[in-house]
Amino acid sequence: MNVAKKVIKNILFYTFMFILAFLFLFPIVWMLVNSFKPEAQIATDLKTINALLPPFNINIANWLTPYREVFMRFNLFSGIRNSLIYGGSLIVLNLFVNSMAAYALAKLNFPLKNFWFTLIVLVLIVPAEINIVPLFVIVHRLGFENSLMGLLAPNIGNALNIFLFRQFFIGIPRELEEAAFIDGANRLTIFFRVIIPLSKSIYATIAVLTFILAWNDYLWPVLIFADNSKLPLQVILNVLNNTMPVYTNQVLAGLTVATIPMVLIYAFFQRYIVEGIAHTGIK
Amino acid sequence: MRILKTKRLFGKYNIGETVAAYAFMLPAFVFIITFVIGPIVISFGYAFTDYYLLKPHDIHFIGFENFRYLFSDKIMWKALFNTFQFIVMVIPLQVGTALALALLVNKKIRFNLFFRISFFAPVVMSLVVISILWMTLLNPESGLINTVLSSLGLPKQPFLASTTQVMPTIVVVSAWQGAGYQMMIFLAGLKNIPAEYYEAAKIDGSNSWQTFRNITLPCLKNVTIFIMITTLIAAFKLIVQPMVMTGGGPKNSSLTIVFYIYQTGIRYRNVGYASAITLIFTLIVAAIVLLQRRLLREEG
Repeated sequence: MNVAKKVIKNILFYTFMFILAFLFLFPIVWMLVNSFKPEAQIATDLKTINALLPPFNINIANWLTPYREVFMRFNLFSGIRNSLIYGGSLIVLNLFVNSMAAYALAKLNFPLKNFWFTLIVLVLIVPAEINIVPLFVIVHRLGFENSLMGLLAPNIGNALNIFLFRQFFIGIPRELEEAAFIDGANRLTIFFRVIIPLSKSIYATIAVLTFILAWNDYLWPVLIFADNSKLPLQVILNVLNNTMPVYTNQVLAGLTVATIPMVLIYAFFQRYIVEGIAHTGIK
Repeated sequence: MRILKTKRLFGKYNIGETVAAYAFMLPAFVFIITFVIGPIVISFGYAFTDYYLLKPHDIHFIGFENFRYLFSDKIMWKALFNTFQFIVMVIPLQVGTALALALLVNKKIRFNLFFRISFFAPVVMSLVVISILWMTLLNPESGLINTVLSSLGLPKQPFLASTTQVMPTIVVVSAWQGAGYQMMIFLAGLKNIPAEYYEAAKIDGSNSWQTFRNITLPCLKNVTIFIMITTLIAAFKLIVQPMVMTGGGPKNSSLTIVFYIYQTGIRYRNVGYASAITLIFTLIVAAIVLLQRRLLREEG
């Protein structure tokens, strides 16, 4: 009797869990499998379970036809290239600039230190999107419009990253720096020779988070670029969703192409991302 | 004399260290002051002018004219209302879902990794991707959701095309995407609760609801505060989903305040008026975030 009760309870629990998982997964599964189908088949499959299954009726060699078509119709290659350039340059600038500032705030003693740190914390409260119009005016007046510089500039100094770097640097024991200091090293040498080698994990975490941010960014690039050849992938996706005629299979192929690199990044750098999430969460 | 002066100026500080510190901070703060704090500061100035984007040399001080217009601007009130409607719905839904998911996968159950990956999967996709994907799924005629509804004998729903359904739909889509991320934060918080607490509760004969109420929930307090504040800040800046899915429609019923600022300042180039809305909204956001922080910290 007790065993039977337990079995029923288990069945109910796992049924519930799989339904829940299904609710989170079905849009993604639908996106992936229908990106391989001819346009007409998407509509006919919709009424049956085939909507969530790959097109077994089609020769596997033809599954990628929608991908070929969408790459021919739209500048997806240039979008991918632009997004990679955006992400790559932002990682380099962002890590360098913010970790240096964080080092000063974590380890050095100087006048107005609290003022600068409070400023960083206050900046975190107001989301940058709210100030998008005055930001655009500044970038416009500096002549950075329609350029990589304009794309990067507002994202280089990042208060959250300074905060996270500082949090990590504070945990590095003073003695390690002092030993180098006695050996005659200056601050810059200490930073590069002592601090950075001890902080690889936080650098990796912030590099990954920065790349994700750049790859997914939409609002700022759509605003500052007038030139089609400079658009990153996310903006191109919206173009392809709004250019008549809209073919669902091509749209889904485009969405899948934009998602694959993120899946790989989350899979490979899982440890750093989870660490980053935990760092930001538990303060 | 010179030594005396620097001594007085720097007091307990070492000059070399001070110079080094400012050199280290200079690049980051140049960018933050120009592109993060700068916009906030100049929105104060522009808000009192008739600055039109294409006429940067023809700016006039117009006093409180923009603010007077703002109070009678029905679209602005609509956008503000929509934004608060989103906030009020998305915070309980998303944070509640995230907590429930975290509690479910924190237990030792079969297929644990599969469930975690499933709930986290939408986080991996960008806002543009999920917006376009859900637009396709929610299409009133040919979308998957309505096809399923009608094959179950239920009436088709307009979703994004309806003035009343559009905001709740955007809420559900946003929560669907974001809950997995916050589940991870909750999981990190759950891992930090010492196992002894649960053992002690077990010995005392506490049932699972009592354990949850008296141990889990109080221990998650700081994490919950953090998640509520970040969700609130993220909800204030809602723009990409309506921008991609509805363009703010139908009849401005998914127009959010940030989207309205964007339209006014960029599309209609009315920088002066957009700055006035920005200024008011920045003050509202800062006040609410600080208030929420204080209220949540003081509670129990």
